[in-house]
Order: sequence, then C-alpha cells, then structure tokens
Amino acid sequence: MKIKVRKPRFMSVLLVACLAGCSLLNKVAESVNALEEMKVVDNLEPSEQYYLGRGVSAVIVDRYKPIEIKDQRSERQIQYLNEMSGFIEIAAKDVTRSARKLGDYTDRSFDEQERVYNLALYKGIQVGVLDSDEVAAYATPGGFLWISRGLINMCNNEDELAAVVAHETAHIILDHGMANYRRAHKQSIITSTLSETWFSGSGVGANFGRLCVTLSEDLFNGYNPGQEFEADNWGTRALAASGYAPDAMVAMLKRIEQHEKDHKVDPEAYLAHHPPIGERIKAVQDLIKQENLKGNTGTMTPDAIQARNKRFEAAFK
Amino acid sequence: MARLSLFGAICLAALLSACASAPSRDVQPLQTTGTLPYRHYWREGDPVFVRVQASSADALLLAEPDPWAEPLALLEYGQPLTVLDESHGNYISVRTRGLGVEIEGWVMRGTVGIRAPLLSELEQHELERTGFESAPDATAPPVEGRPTEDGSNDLARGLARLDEHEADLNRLRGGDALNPDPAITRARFRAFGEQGGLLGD
Repeated sequence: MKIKVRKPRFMSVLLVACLAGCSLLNKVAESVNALEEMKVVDNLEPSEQYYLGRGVSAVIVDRYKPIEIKDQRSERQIQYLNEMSGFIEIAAKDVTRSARKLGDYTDRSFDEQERVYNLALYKGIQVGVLDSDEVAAYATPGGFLWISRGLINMCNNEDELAAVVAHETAHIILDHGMANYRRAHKQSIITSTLSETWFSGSGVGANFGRLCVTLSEDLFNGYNPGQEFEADNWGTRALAASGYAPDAMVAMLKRIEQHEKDHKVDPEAYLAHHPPIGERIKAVQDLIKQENLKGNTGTMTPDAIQARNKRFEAAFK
Repeated sequence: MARLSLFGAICLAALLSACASAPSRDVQPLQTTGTLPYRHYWREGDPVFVRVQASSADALLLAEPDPWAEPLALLEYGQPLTVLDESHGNYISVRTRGLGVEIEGWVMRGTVGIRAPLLSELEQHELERTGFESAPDATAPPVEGRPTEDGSNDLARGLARLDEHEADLNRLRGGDALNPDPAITRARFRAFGEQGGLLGD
C-alpha cells in the first residue's frame, strides 16, 4: 500500500520539477541569447579595434613625444621599423596562436581563442618611435606599436631589434590588450561605451575618451606575467619563422636584465607586473631547445648577418 | 498501475512540450548585423566580406595559400567574396568579381568575416567604383570625429599627430599618403627580407 501511495506523490513532484526545470530552461536560453547579443559589440571588428588603438595611441603620443619625420635620418628609421614589422607579421602568419601550444601561460576561453585565431589588422602594424630615453614599448589593440628611443638604443644589432618588434607584435596578434580590459572591467561597460561611440551617429565623444584613457592606463601598467611569457614564446617562434636568430630574444632579455640591475629599478614595482626576467630567459632557452628553432637555411651566413647589421647601423647608430 | 503509466506519459508529454517551447540557439545567420563578426568554419558557397583596408598588406587575393604568394587582385574593404574551400588551415579559397571579371584565389582566414561591415561614404564610393554594391543601410556613422564633450583636448591633439604619422607611413610604404597600395606595401616588406638575407636559400 505504501508503495501505491508514494508513487503518485513522487510522480507529482517529478512533474512539478520538470515544469519548473523547463521554465528555468527558458530563462537560461533567454539569458544565453542576451549574452550573445552583448558579445556582438564585445567581438570588435578589425576597424573598431583599429579606432580604439588609435585613441589609445593618441594618449601615448600625448605623454611621449613621437619622433616626427623631419629629415632623411628620421625617415629612414621609421621606414626601417615599419618594413621590419610588416615583414615579420607576414612571415609569421603560420606561427601558432593556440594558447596551449604557446606554453599554456594564459587561460583563454573558447570564445577568446576563436577571437585570436580570427584576429585581423585593419591597416596592418604601424610602428612609431617615442622620443624618450625610457626603456619602453607599447602595443595597442588594432596594430599600433610604439618603441622608445631608449629601447632601440639598447639593441646591439638588427636581430635584437627584431626580437623587440616580434615580442610586441605578439601582444597585438594574441589580443592581450583587449583581453585584459575585458577581464578588468565588466563587459557591460565596454558594450554601453562602444554602443554610444560607434552607433550613436554623433562621432567620438566623452565616453570614447574615457575608454581610451582607461585602456592606456592598463597598457602603462603592463601586461600580466602569463601574457609576457606567451609573447616571448610567440615572438621567438616568429623570429625563427622570419629568418632571424631566435637566440636574439634571449640576448635582448639579458640586456633588459642588465638594465634593470644598472638602474636599480624597484624590484617590487617591477615584479608586480612582470615575471622575473631570469625565468623568462630560461623559458625562451627551453623553447628554442625543445622546438629546435633556428632561422631559415642561409639566413645566418656571415654575409646575411653583415647585410642586416649594416643597415641597422646606418639607421640607428 | 495503468493510472501510473498514464501519469508518467502526461509528465513526459509536458516535459517535451515545455522544452520544445524554449527559445532555440539558431545557427548564426549570414550577412546580418547583430551576429558574431566571424565564424571559424565556412561552407562552400558562403558569402563573406573583406574586413581589412588597403593600408593592410593582407588586402590582397593571393595565388596560393602561402604568405608570400603572388598577389592576383587588390581587395576593397567590404568587398563580398564567396568561399570555395576552407580546408587549408589559415587560408580560405575564395571567388570574387573585380570590374566584371571573376577571379579565384586565397585569403587569410581573419581577413574576411560573415558580417557586412559598415562603410563610410568614402569606402562605399570606393567599393561601388570597383563594381560592387554595398549592403543597404550599411553606412557607418562618422567615427573620425573629435572628442568635445569632455573637453579632452589632449586626445584631440594626439589624434592630430596620428593623422600625420599615418599619412607618412602610407607614403613610406611606397604608395600615396591617402590611397596606399597593398601590393606595393607587400613587395616592400618582401624586399626588406631579401636585402637582409632573411628569406634563406
């Protein structure tokens, strides 16, 4: 008897649970659709990323004066850097963008990984030089790359400068700037801000200005340690794919390490945003060894190295 | 027992009915705004649109799925293409029509997206000049305004500096300051590699 009584009760509870569950399912599905609508703006088109990067660059060039083309020397320097970055970007097209293959240093969601695979640059990479002795480089979303005169002066040859360019290009190609912004700020902020910016028809307004300033502050604070390791990894692979010596990344990191020692940079402040440089050097050395990375056949001949160093010195020394 | 079976059947029917009424997550429709701007996998015959501008060395239809392949045609921002084959990793085989001539070639996967981009009046004019029609109501609002609402003169000053910087770069890449040519740009990049002995044997 007990069984006969309890079964209908159990089934009633099951029915109520099913109906409640389906109602919940409706709500979940609606939320998923709403989230996908939000991502429409979050998934920025290359042109939108470009305009955002342009705004961030405007903040950068207002803080640091960029070198203007006023004579043959400055023209040669800007042309040299832009041809180098364009060459590396094309030569490294087939370098992996998979977070897992790049050492598993960053935790990208499926959507973020898809975004990186499909990232395109509206106008390619555009490099500028900041007229500052500070050792700094900034890569913005949309393809703007700014390198300080101080950092260029630290490079001893073309391959080392290429290592700087490849590392910064990695931050652009792997969407590090926007990934940080998405994590630090609610998606809704970027959604509402960009909606007003791009779809109001009133041109660039105060919200756009605020967004650019916020993004540039993120940039001035530096990328997180995982992103730095990932940029070293992609950059070293890109150097090899472009025919440069992958070891140049190690040499450049060692120069920065020496610079940090010489200039007594506050280790607390430095480590707050960057991984210990010794660990970065070791990670790159391990990568070169494990993947047996080297430049193309013939790119490390004395003639080829001399040709590169000659034009490097003509431009910068 | 029969009553129990009937009760169970009603439960099942209610469950199926309620679940059927839940909003479904449709496959992304093509060519409409309000959808993801890209999709990782394409089918043969899918329409796609160029997402990069002529200042990018990627705005080219290539003869082969290779980064240094010979350029066959220049691509305009917003130009419609038809997917032919997507089984070559980072490259997609596409067909397009330039000035009435149909041509097939390869583009990088990220260069195209399923969403017809919003075009400025100038971009729309350029696209129509080459014989393509842009999507209706697809004119972009002016993005290149200047910030005024918060009195951010700093940003305005920076943007003005960037205007000069970009015009210089277009000129240095071998093209016109306002109308860069991606084929010339790409040739310059390749020449840089050759002169530095970077392309190897």
